[in-house]
Amino acid sequence: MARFWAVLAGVLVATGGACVVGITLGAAELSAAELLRGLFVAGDGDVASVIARQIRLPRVAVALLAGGALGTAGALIQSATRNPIGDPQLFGLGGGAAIVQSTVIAGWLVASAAVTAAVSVAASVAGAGIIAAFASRDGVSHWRLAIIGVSLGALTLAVAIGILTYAQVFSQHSLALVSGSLAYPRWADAQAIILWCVAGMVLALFVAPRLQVMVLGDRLATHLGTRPNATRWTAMLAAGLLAGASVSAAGVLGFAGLLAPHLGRLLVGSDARRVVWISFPLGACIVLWADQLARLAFAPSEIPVGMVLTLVGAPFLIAIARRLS
Amino acid sequence: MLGREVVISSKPERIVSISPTATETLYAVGGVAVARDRSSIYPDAVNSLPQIGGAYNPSFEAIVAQQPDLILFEALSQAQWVEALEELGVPIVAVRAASLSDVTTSLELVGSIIGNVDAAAEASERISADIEGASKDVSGDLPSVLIVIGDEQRNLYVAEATSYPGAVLSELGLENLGGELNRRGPFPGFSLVTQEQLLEMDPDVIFTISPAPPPAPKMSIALGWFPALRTSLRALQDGHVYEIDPILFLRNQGPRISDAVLEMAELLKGIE
Repeated sequence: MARFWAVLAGVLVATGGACVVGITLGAAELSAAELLRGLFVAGDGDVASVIARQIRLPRVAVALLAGGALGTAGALIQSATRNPIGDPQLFGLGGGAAIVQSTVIAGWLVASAAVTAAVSVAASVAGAGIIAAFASRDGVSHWRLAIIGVSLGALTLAVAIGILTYAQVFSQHSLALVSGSLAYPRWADAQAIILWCVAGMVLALFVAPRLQVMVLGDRLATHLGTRPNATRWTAMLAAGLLAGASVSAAGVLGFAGLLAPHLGRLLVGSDARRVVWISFPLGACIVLWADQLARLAFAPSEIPVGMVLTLVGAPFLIAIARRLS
Repeated sequence: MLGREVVISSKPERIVSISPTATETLYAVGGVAVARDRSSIYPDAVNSLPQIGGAYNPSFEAIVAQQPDLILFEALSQAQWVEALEELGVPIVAVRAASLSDVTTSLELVGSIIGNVDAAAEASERISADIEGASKDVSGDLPSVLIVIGDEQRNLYVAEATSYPGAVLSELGLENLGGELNRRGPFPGFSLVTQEQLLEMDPDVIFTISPAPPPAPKMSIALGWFPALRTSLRALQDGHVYEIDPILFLRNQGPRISDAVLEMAELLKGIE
């Protein structure tokens, strides 16, 4: 357990560092004094205050929430379906939410940020339900489940892209949804998802201890006194809440949900509880650092954060996979 | 241009333009900007201005850092940021250039905002006169035409009548075979077309626009890579495929529409 706390402390320090970078550096050069004034003293409308409070802070907040939610959702799916490629985006949870978001971008669904977030979460939970239903069937091996999950992911994303194409949405705007973007978040986006993130996390923490025995398979888990189906449905519900919230604020950010749990397992061991716990800060840390690269590498122009996540995440994941074997 | 009402209490002194259309409109009526997007490269005076990122991905904090009292943007490609821009607490105004009347309306709008109504009227008159002159040069038996654009996935798009390059064609009275296509696609004013459709339309002349800079291949050459088009499209066989400037005809839409019309008229004279 000491190792877990050490890792958690390290991840939190790294995340804190990214927060500092996210707030202090940017396309506009603000001195420390200006920044502090903008953050704490200046009134609305002041330049430093708009940059610090309305542009940089909400972006950091959305990156933390979206990244953390994806990391935890990935950990939950991987444990609940005993599947190493369990990922909210690959398995169609995020795709369900992306369908809702695409109808918003197309102008078919006109509602407040809070309502669209709620509908996105509902769609993501529906995707999670489909996965849970298949996973609960007798005789569905985790390889078959992987094929079903990836197909569902591809299907939902194709529907979302179809809607955007049909509605003649400008391609740059579509890209922000399909590959994920943190470029223009507002406080309303963070506010709209925070409750869903909290609800998902509470459920995740509640179900995490039971997930540990799920790795043994349903039969053994039953013998050990747990109800595998109830555990799986609860975990998938939590994953659905978290993935839907994330996509609603940041689009379909890939790789974080896959990477965070695997990295977590490497750092804190395979205990499902610890993996679920560490995946939130780890996902948040990964996405926030990736966003710093996306923002600052070519400022004032940006590169897509999804691309950074994949460029950094893919080799990392390959290295982890090699170690696992 | 988006049907919004904007209150501008005094003449703006610090205008940030985040689209080449907005920049060229502003300068055409005698205004100046304090910052621009990366694609705003005309007139020369703007090249010394600080950049706020690309027109497709402007940095909001770089915009705010310029302490603007007006932000000019483009209605078609940048509408998705209206709400977010409004939250910056600065008046924002959209211009558009999908047609000649869009261009003149935008000139009037920006001219009235900066108090140069006369300059706007003069600019509009000059554009109309130039276009009239160019159309006189082009007359008689005009060819049927298509404007073809490709994207990174080798999808082919044809400019409709409602697009800016389509407007250039109609100002010259050319028969745009893609004018009424009105198909769905990710670029407003442009229809995604198949090779079969191109063969069916079989225009006398094809103008191609290559949005990607070299070393990406020019569209006029890439069209020949489609075997069916190479063997059966008249314009390709007769060598009537002409590359037109992506900046003038696509990226920097605006008051230089008359320059685009003049350039196309020159090209047509060469064909006849």
